[in-house]
Amino acid sequence: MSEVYRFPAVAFRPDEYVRAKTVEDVVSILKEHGDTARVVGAGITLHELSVMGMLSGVKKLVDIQQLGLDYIEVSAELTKLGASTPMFKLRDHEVFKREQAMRAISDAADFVPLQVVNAATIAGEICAGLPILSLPTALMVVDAKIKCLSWEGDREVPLENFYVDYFLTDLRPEEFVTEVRIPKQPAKSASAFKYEKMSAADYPLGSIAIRITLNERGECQDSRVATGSLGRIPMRVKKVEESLNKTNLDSQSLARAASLLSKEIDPITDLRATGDYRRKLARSLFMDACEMAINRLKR
Amino acid sequence: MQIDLRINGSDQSVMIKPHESLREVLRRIGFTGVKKGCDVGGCGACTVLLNGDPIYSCCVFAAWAQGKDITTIEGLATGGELQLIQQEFATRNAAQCGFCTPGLIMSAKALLEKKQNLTEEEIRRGIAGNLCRCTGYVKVVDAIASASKK
Repeated sequence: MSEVYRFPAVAFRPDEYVRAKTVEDVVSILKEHGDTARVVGAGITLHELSVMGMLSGVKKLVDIQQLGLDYIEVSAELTKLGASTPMFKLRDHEVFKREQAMRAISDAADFVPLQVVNAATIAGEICAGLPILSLPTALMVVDAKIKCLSWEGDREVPLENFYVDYFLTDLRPEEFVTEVRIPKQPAKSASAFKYEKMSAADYPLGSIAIRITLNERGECQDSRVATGSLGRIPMRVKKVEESLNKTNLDSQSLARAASLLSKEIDPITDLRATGDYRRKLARSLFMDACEMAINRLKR
Repeated sequence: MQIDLRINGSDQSVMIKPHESLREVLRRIGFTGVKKGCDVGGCGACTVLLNGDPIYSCCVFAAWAQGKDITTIEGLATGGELQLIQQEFATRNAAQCGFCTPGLIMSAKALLEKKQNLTEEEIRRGIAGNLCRCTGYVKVVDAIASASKK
């Protein structure tokens, strides 16, 4: 018996699936086809968007597996992540377990279901433009920048400036992401990422990433705090960061920052939770992430 | 378009449409052990192994899987002889309606290939992406734990 497939209201029917051999191939296809072409990582988010009827205008899929963009390169000044690197490699790579300042990245890549971690790529997680994915939140606290390439050349965009609105990023129709760059992290720093979700295969209800840098007196010299699933975009919460700086990270300072956090975010209400619940959850995740990062600073 | 897939150790040329998922193509060419569940990467009924690791076949493009080793539930038993993990599922009654079973067995197979003597936590984490609405997982975990000790 043949299967009955319920077509979405607006069907996703690309004409062609192209296996690009070089970066120039991709640049040239995107120059010619712009928004009607889409670069494929593993296609997980594209599939989900297509089911929602959001990709009906896409006529060309561009597979970038053969471009050699599956790498993690670590040097003293910079860590480079290729666009096609799957999430499980971030989870397992020694540098993200060893460098306390970058631990948030392996925390964010260490999620279930494994079926997604094994296939999803770094650029896919970033370019989906969904506030619910974990990696952008974690990358923001390590000051990651992304390299966007088009026929006009390349440009580097700080990830914290990349998200414009729900499903909307700063990526132009003729560009694609080739690399993520993480600068050398400040000394005496540690980061952590915490999330909560209702079931293994569901999206997080909320997530928080934090990086704390201590000065020689053991006070918080600098901090980064970013949120996911707690607003329309993954974003840094700078008032929270400011309130942590120059404190000794005692329970009062953390409570004051947590209180600012619930004012700075604007979480939605949906079938999973109310916005009010998410605000309370954010405080709790923030306190847990702080505790995790502080403990890592002691190692 | 035509693609070449390596499924259960055999090469196959298949005509597909560019948007088709691996799940759709596998079922169309006869691998009906790959179940259609939620079709958006949420239930795990469509789980297959790609180069030995479990993935949701419903939400990757079939064309993307070209050149990778695909293993479906049909690739486990040889000559009618069940593999150890299949035997354990059968003898411990780890299936009820059976719809989730192929996906669960594929996730379990990947776990067992990587490590023996799995803890309950490791098993539960390994099968977290597979939903079962009948058995409540206890017997599934027992079956995988037993296989991991043999």
